[in-house]
Amino acid sequence: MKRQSKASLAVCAALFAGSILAGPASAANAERPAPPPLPPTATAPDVRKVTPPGRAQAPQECAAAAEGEAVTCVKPLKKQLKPATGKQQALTPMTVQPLPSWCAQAGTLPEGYYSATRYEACGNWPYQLTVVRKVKGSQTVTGVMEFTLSGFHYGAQNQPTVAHQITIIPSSMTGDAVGATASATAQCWQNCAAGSQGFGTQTLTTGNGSSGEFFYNTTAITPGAVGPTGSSWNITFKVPSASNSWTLGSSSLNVRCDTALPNNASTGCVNPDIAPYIQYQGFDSFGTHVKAAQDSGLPGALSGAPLHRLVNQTLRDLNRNTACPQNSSYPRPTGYSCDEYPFASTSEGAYTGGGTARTFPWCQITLSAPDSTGPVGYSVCMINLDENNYAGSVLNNVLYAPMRVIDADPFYVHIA
Amino acid sequence: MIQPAEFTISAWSHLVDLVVDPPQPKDPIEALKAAQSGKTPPTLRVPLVFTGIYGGPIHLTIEVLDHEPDTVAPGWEDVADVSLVIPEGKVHFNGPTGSDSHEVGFMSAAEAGSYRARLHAVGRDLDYDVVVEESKERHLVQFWKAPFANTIVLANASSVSKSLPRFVAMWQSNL
Repeated sequence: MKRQSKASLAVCAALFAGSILAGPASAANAERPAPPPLPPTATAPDVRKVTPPGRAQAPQECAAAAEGEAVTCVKPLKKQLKPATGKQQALTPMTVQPLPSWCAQAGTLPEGYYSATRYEACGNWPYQLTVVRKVKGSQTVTGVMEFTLSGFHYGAQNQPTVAHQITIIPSSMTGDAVGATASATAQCWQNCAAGSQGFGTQTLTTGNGSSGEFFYNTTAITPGAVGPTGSSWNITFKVPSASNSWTLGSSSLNVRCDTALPNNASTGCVNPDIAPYIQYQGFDSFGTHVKAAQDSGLPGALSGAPLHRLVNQTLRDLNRNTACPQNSSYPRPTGYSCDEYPFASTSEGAYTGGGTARTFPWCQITLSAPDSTGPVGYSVCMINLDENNYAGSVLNNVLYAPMRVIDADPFYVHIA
Repeated sequence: MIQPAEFTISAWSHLVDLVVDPPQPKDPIEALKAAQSGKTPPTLRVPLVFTGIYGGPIHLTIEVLDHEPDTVAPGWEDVADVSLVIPEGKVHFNGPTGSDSHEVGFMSAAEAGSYRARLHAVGRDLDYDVVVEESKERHLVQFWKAPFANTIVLANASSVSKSLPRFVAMWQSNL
């Protein structure tokens, strides 16, 4: 196991010093437990680059200008633009949310790609608007605007509403591109009701961000409901001298809203393609077992296949009873309880996942058959009761509930 | 305020949680923005009831007192006093990861604060670490408002209760 830092140990020792075992002095002395593990800082904001599956736009060709005519078009720009530092001019009364710091750190991304966490997705995409005029038979670029389009959409753990905002930030404008305007409209895809939105016609100026935001509500609000959804903006650019306008689409990632968390009447919306993970640190007994189980080939490690949540109570009980049967089969040493991996609350658990048991030399369990190996099967081990309980508690209270991990959702377990 | 209650609830992973959902802004857009910017208090989830069984039903009684009881109630094998801060919000007890939930009232802003909880249990060793279908284990939780104080074990007859102080220190360190 990774050793705790001195600072962390000091915190743990101080916390434990606050615990007093009253009662027989001999018992108090004999039963003084080890310091507790670090707070299970557990989870999941995990920034990954993702593209909306199946929603890539067919590239549009810039139209050729007729003699004397000017036309405009917008294309992705294959270079980094300086991050905009100018003020944002959101339409009153809307005030767009500041972009998360991790969004800026990700820099500009290829068109349509996002950096995303379980609840938020953000992208900064560089574009170039050009104005082409046909003069004496030749197509001449008479104006250029380079700009960054920022898209940011977010849901929340206990809210049925999703926001999708965009900001256009020109970094340079020349020639006929000066005076360019943008207007935009937004829509949501399915299982939703569109709410307020705002991005009226705005004149674009260098260094200033023009923003709009769109809100929609999920219709997946009945108990057990799960509603895939998402949204997109159509942004129309015009320049004063051009005969045409250009519409640029910008879609969100797939979003999923649900009212399907066990024990929780709330509705919330996540980015379902971002599988969360829980990180356990300082769980000596539990962590050693889970790490050994993962190293033996069982799924759930960040580098491997995920686990999948199992909500069905009957199947979870079967998983637990298969892995850790009655005391007579696997006697529990005092102060220990039986730990199973993959967890009973996953479809990879002992009954639903299939396979046979494996254990490790320090686990105080004697199996009646040879250890299983590889990705199928399960591992059992006697570990400290308090640590086992706490690990189980945070699995729900730090991962399942806050990250809205519903039935069959994938997730990972990381032992730090 | 938390209301007195008596019910059967399913434990999982040796636990039943106390959960407090904070009030949300009424306007959904404001509520969403508050959540996104971290201005909404998080849901409190405390593994307050520590069971002997791994999973299955237990009998749970909730009482709310004006002050610390003068004596320890008889008939309980294990009794311990622990401290926790209960915020404003809807209070319920949940079986972790399951679908069993019992609402026990709403804590107003004036009522929120530091509480002492006296945790009583009997029968923890009867079906230790197994999943049961019938309840043999009983728990009583008494709350009263009091400043934060050390965990005190008043009785620890079961083998399970020996693990309680360290377990409490774990969840208190994460509040």
